[in-house]
Order: sequence, then structure tokens, then C-alpha cells
Amino acid sequence: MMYFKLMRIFLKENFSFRRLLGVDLKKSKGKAILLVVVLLYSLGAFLFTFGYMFFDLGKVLAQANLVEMLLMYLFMYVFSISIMMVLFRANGYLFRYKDYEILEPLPIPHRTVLFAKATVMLIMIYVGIIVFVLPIGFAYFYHSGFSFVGLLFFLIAFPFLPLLTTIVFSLVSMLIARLTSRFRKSNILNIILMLAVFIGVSAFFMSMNFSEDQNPLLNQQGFIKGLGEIYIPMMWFVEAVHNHDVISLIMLIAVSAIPFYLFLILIQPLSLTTNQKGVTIVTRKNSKPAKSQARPLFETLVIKEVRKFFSIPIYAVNAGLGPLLLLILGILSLVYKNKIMSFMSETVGLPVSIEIVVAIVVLFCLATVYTSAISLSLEGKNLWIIKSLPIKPQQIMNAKLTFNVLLGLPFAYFALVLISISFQFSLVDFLVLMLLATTFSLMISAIDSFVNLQFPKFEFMSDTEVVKQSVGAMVGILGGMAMIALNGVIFYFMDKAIAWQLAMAFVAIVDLLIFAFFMFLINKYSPKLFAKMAG
Amino acid sequence: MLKITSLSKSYDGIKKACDNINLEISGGDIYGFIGHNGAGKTTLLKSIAGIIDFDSGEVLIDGNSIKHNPLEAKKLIAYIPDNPNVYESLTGMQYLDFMADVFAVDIDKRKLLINKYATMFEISDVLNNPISSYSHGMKQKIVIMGALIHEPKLMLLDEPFVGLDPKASFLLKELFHDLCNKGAAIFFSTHVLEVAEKLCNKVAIIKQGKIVANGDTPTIVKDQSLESLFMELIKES
Repeated sequence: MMYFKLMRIFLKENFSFRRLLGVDLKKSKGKAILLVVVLLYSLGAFLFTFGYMFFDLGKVLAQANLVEMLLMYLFMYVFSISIMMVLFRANGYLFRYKDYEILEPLPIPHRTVLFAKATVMLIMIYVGIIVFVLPIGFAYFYHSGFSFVGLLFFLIAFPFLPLLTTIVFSLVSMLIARLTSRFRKSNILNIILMLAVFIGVSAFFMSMNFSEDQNPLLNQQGFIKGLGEIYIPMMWFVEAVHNHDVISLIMLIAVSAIPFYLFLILIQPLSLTTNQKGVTIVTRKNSKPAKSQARPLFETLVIKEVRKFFSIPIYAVNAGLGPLLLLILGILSLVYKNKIMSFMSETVGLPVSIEIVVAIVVLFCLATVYTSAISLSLEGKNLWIIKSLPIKPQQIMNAKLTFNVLLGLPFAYFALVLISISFQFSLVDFLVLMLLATTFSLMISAIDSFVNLQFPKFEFMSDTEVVKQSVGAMVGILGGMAMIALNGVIFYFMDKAIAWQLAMAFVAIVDLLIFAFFMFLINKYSPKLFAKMAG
Repeated sequence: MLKITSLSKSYDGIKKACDNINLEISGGDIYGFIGHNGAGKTTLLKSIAGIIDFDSGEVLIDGNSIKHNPLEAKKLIAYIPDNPNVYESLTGMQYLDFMADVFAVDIDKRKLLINKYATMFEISDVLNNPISSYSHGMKQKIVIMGALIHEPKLMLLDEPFVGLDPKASFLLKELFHDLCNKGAAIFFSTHVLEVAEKLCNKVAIIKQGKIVANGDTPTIVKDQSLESLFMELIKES
């Protein structure tokens, strides 16, 4: 059957080890082993920390006889992660797929292609959400008491959970792409609209169940329950798994599967039209004369990175979320100073000062800026350009590293200045925090650059593969988290012996040394590694 | 201008994509490079341009080794691939500025050259548009312009006429002659044997990674056509 043949090809194109990670296992066994170890460690660390959090929460909920809340949390994760994934992928999977020109001339009905594409997109979503579903599901079945029927209903219901969000946000994704394609700065508009939709959806749900004087962070349970009240499939899911209610299970399946099937049938003509438009190039004449501008080499390389960043929405949204959070954080610290202070004392109850919490948050945001871990990979088919030009590989890597620092650090400074004003930090405290942010940003940028040099991924069908699925992206993000943990451990021990400001300065110096070490590696090995890269 | 000595390259360690290749190209030469699909043309061109590493041998560009002194060697060359993959998010002008910045072409000179070539290839009115909105031929033209912006001494081109309209092909051939008159050398691969025969003063034929014939076009072709010679050489085991 053609559907399965197509599926096999699409799955191979999307999920083969080589495509996912850009490494040929047979050719580079050493790298493969290293990779497997890193990935297993990362996955294990994530499952353990995330799982522990929900296992602990489950214990509290079970004591309050509210263990089914875990299923609501699970549903929430499926809901929000599938929104993010669909927003950025649906257009490429359903409405503007890159192999349209290959597939369309073949005697295959468009419906078959569309169904196969949709299935692969769903598989991608399932892979993305299962990492979150597993630990929460485990916590639920552990604390609620294992039930075979419950597990069976859970497994039956699971594939249907993201279907409704997929329908809605596929259309949103397509509409945004169509709307913005009319404008000259379509990519930047696309980034802004995608972020606006995501923040808008989050704000809508956050606003559902809070009175003005309530702190949203203190009222998660109310929020989840509120969502359940307006989004009935969530309650059906909970009823089916927790109370073994067959009717709820059937309702969930019917209300998800039937609209999804109809959606695929109804969007066929739309998919055909948008794909046809995608392969048609209309060049408009521009009466405004083009201006030439000369720049020094390094500056032009950095500007090339800036333009690349803003030209790929998924790249900008993923690697640029940290700076955005820092910006929001800085402004919020001025506006909600008192609420944050009371939240810190009432809820978090951490035995640490506000300065330390600020440091952790700023480092976390900086760790999510990982352009240097993927920007070399994103050269993709254009690699021939930089390889054939008289530019030292070190210069190329340094430009990519510099862009990563420039993307995060100014926002960290901005946030730290505002936070320091809000919380009236002393000058020394402020300077120490600035120092740590600087050395941490330099360090992770250098580590990320080295990771990308070691694990470049030049063969990809869409930029999403590099931004979200490549080794560079995974190690870039998780490596950043690991470096925060390392900073934390060093600080913990130093803080016992000396003043926290000195301890933090010591951590900053360690970060600086690590940065110097990775710069040495980059400068030493980049010519050799560049020569090996296939152009 | 270009001296290739005993160049060998294998992708899998078994079969050689380029096998002990020796070639010499002087300033003023328009050198055609002919071979069947998979013969090793692109591999050789990419090796000369420093895009892929080769296993043994040497490539000297005006005396600069592409392996040991790549920056100096690359300053003299321009490479144009068979498929115009460029930074599609940049506008045509931004791409040309990028190339000019890399080769440190001063602003007056670049303006002059951009104006000259944009007018010649009739793309002046789209230089402000993103390259993603260009047709295949326009992309090819912008890549050619990017290559010409530093007036290279050696141009390496992989199937340069594919995708160009007849007028642009004609102009490119004229450009080849102009560059050669100024002392530059052109080395390009092609499947269009008539073009090679008429345009090139020298040709090389590659078969399964080995150069099976090379030299002055009239000497190589003798009294037959290049097409018949090529077919003959390809048939021979």
C-alpha cells in the first residue's frame, strides 16, 4: 500500500540515526559511543529530575486524595508541548513540504501523501511529548495504585490526546505563514506572530482562574482545574483513566479522531494550493536602488549570523527565548517587586538569598541561548561558500561564538541592572553578578561552538531538525544546564568558607578558565575539523 | 596558475573518486573539463577550491598550496558550484557585500563592479529583494557576480551554463574571454561538448577518476569532433 511505502520513506528521512544526529554510526564509532553516553546521561538526568518533581508532587496529591490531578498535569504538558511543536512544524509538514516537487509528479493521490505526512508529524509529536508523559504517568500509577484497566485506557487514550490541538494550531501555523508571506520582513513577522500566539494562549489559560490578588504561581491546581472545566476532553481523559469510565474514553476518542479525519479530508485542496504556491517563484522588481556597504571581515561574519538568526523563525524562537525572558524578567522586577519578594518568602522558601536566585535565573536564561551549538550546522548546503573563501575556520567559529554572546549577554546586563535597582543590591553584589553572567556566557558559547565543530549536521530537510533535534542542540541546552549545576556545586562548597560574593567571583574565574580551555580547543582543532567537513 | 600534482581522493577508502590526477593550467587558459556522471569532476573542483580534503597529491594556485596555505590560495580563486545554494535570507546586495567584505574589495570598486555586472545580467532591479525570491537562473547570476567581485585569477566552475538563459550564457562566455585576456584562468566542467569545443583552448577528459586525455583542444580533437572522441574514450575499458 502506497501509504505505508510513503510512511517508510518519510520516517527514514525524519528519524534515521544519521538524519536525527548527523552521525554515521558505521564510520565514526567513537563519536557514536560518546553520543549515546551523552544522550543517555541527558535523558536519564531529565527523567530523574522531572520524574522526581512529579513523584514528589504525586505524594502530596495522594495524601490530599487528589492524585488524578497528575493526569491533568500530564494532559497540560501534552497540550502545551503539542501546541509548540505544531505551530512550528505543521506548515512544513502539511502545507509547504519540501519534497512536494518530487512527490506531486508521481501517480500518488495527494490524499495519500497528506495522510502519510500527517502521520509522521504526529509521530514526531508523540516522541516529543512522551519524554514528559512517562515520568508523570509513572508517578500517577505509583501513587494511585497500579490498575491494568487504567493503564490500558491510558495507552488507548494517549495517541488521541494531541489531535485537537494539532487541528487548531496547524491552521494557525498555516495562516501565520500565509499572512506574513505577503510582507518583505516576513520571517521577523512570523517570529513575532508565533511568539504572540504562544504567549497569548498561555496568558489566556493563566487568566482563567485567578482573582487579581492571587499569585498565579500559588494557584496551579486551580488553574489546571479551570482548564478542565472549559476543555472537556481533559476531563474525559481523567475520567477514563482514573475512574475507568468507558463512555469517557469513547467520547475522547470520537471527539478527537473524527474531527482529525475530517480535518485531513477538508484541508486537501488547501494543502495542494499552498504547496503549489510554495514552488512558484514570483520575483518582484524593486524600484528602490540597492545600497552597498563595506564592513570589516569579522563584523560582516557576525552580521551574517544576525541575519541568519532572524531569517529562521524556529531558530529565533528557540535560541532567542532566553533573552526575551531576561527582558521580561527585568521589567517585571520593577513592576512586581513586592509580589516577587512575598512569593520568594512564602512559596519557594529557599535557604538562599535573592541574589543567588537571581544568579540562577540569569544563568538559566543564558544557558538557553545556544546559537553557537547549531549555527555551523545551519550552514548546511551553503557550507561551500565559507569553505571556498579565504577565511580562517577560527574566524568563522569566533564570529559564531561572538554572536551567541551578543545575543544573550546584553539582555542579562539589562535584567541585572533593573533587578539590582529594584532589590537595591549593593554595588559589589551587582558587579559580581555581572561578572558571573559575563564569564558564564563566554564559557557556554565556547563549549557550544566546540560541540558544533565536533558534531555538525549538514544534511537536513528543514531547519527544525538542526534547531531542535541535532546533537548540537541537545548537548548545547543540556550542557548549559550541566554547567549551571557545576557552578552550583563549586559555589556551594566555596560559600561555606568565604563570603558569597567572593565565592561567586571564584565561580566566575572557573568559568573563565573553562572558556579559555575551549577557545584553545577551537583554535587548535577547527582547521583540521573544517577540512574534514563535507561541503 | 593552477598546478595539480598526483591528486587522489577516495570517499570510502576503496574506490578512488580522483586517481593520481596531474593537470597544469596557465593564465589565459579556458580549460574545459569533461566526464560522465560520477567520473570525479565535482570532486576535483571541490578539492581545488579547498572544500573537500584530498588524500594525497598537491594543488598549487599561483604557487600557494590549497592544503598548506589555504587562505592565500583562496584569495586568488572563485568557485561556482553546480547548484546555486546561497544564503537565501540575504538580499542580492547583502550577499554581494558579504563576498566583497571577505575579499576586502573597497567600496568604490565594488560599487563599480556590482553596477557593471548587475546591468549586464539584468538583475539591478531585484538586488534589494531576498535571494529566496529569485529564480534558479537569477540565483546562478548572483553567485557568478559574487565570484567576480574580487576579480579572481582562477575561476573554478561546476556546470556553469546550467540554468542560464541563452543571453546570460553568451555573456558568461564573453566574461570568460575578458578575464583570460587579463591573465586569469578558467577551469570549468561541462556536459555540453559543443561549448567545450568552441570555447576552450584546452580540455581534459576524466573517466572513473582518471584523466584519460588532456591538452590543447585542436590537438586532442584532431580531425574528429569532441563528442566522438569523448564517446570513444568512454567506451574503452
